[in-house]
Amino acid sequence: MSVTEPKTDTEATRGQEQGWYLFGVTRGDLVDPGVIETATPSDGDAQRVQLLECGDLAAVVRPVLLEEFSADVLAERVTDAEWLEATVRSHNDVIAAFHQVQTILPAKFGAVYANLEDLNAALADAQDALQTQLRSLEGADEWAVHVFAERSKVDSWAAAESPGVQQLQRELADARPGRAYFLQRKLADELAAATDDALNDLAQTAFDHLAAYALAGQINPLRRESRGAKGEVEILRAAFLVPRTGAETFLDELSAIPGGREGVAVYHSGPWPPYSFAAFTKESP
Amino acid sequence: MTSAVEARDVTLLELLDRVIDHGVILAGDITISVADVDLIYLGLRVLLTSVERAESLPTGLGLHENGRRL
Repeated sequence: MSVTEPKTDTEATRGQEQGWYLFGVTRGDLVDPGVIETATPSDGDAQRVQLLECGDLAAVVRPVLLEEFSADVLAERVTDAEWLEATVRSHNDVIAAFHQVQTILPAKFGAVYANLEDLNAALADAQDALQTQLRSLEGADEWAVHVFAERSKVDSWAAAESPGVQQLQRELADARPGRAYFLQRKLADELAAATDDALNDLAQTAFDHLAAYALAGQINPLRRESRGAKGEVEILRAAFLVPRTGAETFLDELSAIPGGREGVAVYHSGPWPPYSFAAFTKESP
Repeated sequence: MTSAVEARDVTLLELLDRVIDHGVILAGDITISVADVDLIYLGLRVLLTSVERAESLPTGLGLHENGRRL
């Protein structure tokens, strides 16, 4: 197995301890060698993106100073929004440049290797698994989908479709004051449960519907504090791996999600490199 | 706040969502240990949440840049 090491000891890192920031893993034979230039920010040789080739694969790396990525320094920097944004965007820019021209398995943010030989060995060990992953992502993009619902509007149609709520409403109409108070409270609980069920059903139906137009789908944890433009509650936060040839159909299907219901809004972003579907870890076979 | 700024912030939130939690990990002498990385991700999450709260999460507005509201 051949291993081609990238250029080491650049002018900016000479004399200082150097590490390698890993952006991702791709095929060793570049479809377009110009991608290296596209991916490299125009701020000097030390920042140049390079390939660490190993067999049919290549790690996309960039030399960095280890001291800039020490745990202490990072722990301090993660509270610096400006640094965080620049670093995250830089991470994405390199991966996105490759993703434009060929499949890339994005690496986890912030992985800096002190030892190039270790990275070589890891690539060689995981060659088959990484190739399989790359093949599974070929020609596909990630799309993010968020579904939001206005609870007050969902209350209305959940009530209309819930036999339990309707029964209580009928009983309430004829109840004496004492019993009415009791029924009111029971009705509020029943309505809340019916709305919760409706929201869960809506989220699952939306995910299942879109998954049928995707190669894979992933439901991500909700952030309860998330609010839409009208104060809607987020009920589904998902990522889908969609073949490029099917992207238009997938996006068209987003309009089917509300299903004519009032108070349901769908947002999407993309196309992204397949971050959510790059699942390989060192524990993987 | 202009809609352009809102769009930029929400795009960043979407980006953080993808970049922070996902991606391959290869074995090797990584300068940041896995535990440290988790701590850093936790820090990023805290920051992410604070940005969301500060912005009242204008998700729909931001997603107009790449997405659409139906």
